[in-house]
Amino acid sequence: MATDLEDIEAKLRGCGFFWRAPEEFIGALANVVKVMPYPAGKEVFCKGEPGDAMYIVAEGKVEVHDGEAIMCVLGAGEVFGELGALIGEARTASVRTTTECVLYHLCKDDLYETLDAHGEAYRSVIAGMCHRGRGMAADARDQLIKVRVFQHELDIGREIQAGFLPESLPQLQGWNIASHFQAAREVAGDFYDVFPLESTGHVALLIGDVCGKGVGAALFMTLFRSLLRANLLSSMVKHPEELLAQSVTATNAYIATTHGKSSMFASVFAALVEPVSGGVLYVNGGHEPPIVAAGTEIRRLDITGPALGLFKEACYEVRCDQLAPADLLFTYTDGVPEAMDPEKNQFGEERLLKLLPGVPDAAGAIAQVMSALSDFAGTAEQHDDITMLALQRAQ
Amino acid sequence: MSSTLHIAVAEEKGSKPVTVLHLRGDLDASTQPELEEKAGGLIDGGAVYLLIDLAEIGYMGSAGLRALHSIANKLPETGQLKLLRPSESVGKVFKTLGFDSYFDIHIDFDEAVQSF
Repeated sequence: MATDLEDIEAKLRGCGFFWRAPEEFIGALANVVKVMPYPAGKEVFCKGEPGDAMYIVAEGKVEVHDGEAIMCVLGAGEVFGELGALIGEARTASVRTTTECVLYHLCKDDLYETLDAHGEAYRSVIAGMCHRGRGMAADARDQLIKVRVFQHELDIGREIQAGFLPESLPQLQGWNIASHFQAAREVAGDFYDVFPLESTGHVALLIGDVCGKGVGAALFMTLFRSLLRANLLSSMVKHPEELLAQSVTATNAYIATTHGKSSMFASVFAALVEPVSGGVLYVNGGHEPPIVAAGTEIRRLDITGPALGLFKEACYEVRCDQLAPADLLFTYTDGVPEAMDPEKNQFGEERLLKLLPGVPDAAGAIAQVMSALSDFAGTAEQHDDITMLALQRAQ
Repeated sequence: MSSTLHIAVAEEKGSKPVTVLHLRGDLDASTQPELEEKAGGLIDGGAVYLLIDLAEIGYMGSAGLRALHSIANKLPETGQLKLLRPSESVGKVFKTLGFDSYFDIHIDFDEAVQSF
């Protein structure tokens, strides 16, 4: 027994929190702490629970977390939950063991009784708290610097990524084109593009949505968009239907073969518009079917193949549509119908379909949808990128 | 709040030994690693014919599809991944993305097991 007590005393003495505490106080504490063995992966306490004790790590490691992010890892000689023991404050974070642990549990009453019996020890606990406060401030400063560096890198990423979207939309005689792009995070997985194809006289229209979010989706967005653009612009094929089918098939096969292990995919709608006749050739690779508003009539350009990037043998059928004067082609990503209000209801396709008939032009269509989305979402934060690309044949 | 996914594994004897993963919960970005890890472990342990039962999946997003593709990729050349009983909403995700014809999807359990 004596050996156990000596062991506890030695561990308490090695604890930074009690570094200036008198010997008698440490000896008395050793008698009141409860030695508690813990298996790995066990929650010691959870954020928000009432705090009435502190813990000293005698052996093993614990992590302090808030349910998602791990704030720090503590090892032997470190303490946690001291605010609970000193002022009875509710737990400000959760703590769980990451290895098998031995923790010393010191409840509030025992701590204060021992402190009262060894008045001079109050100074050491105050010193311990100050020491710990200083350490936490330094940690917070380090974290802040890391966050700033990371933020700076993301800002650079965002600027570079913006270069993968058209700086301006081409002016096309007899047509009006408008777009809206709103990233949910610093970098986005959505993309769109509009550019003339000198080889065939068509205008190429692209809109896509890479699965997932954040940096991974953003990297693949640049890949999908660049491959589609490069394939369409550099192909020797002059026949528009063949050019479109080949560009989409080659983009899909390249990503499915070269990056198949990432299992990343993108839904893509790619169209070639013939500006004089209003003829539209399109491939829809698993994308939200674009809407054609022709007067009060609505039709959709349904999928003609799977989303790109997963199945290297996938085939993409090219279909045709025809835009008459005043017809509107409205393309969008799922961030539009899946926009949420504060109660987490989705905006939905029905609302979108009702908005489009009768809009004056492409810019008007986008303004109309934006305004309806903003009224619907209110203060709710959106978790997905929102992209729209609209094109209208003039009257 | 992060979602939860329960995975129960069973071995079935059809004409070939089939490893069935019965899933319950949501298959999204937060549970995707769990499924991939579990299936990866089974494949490393020699499972070749996998049947994933989606009947009790409430929500499946793009991350779930990535997980299924990644599992299919981990299988040996001779291996096969088949899917069972997607709910209407999960089936719609497959259809919207045009993936329904690229995964072997079954409605009947016995038929699915015998199909390997």
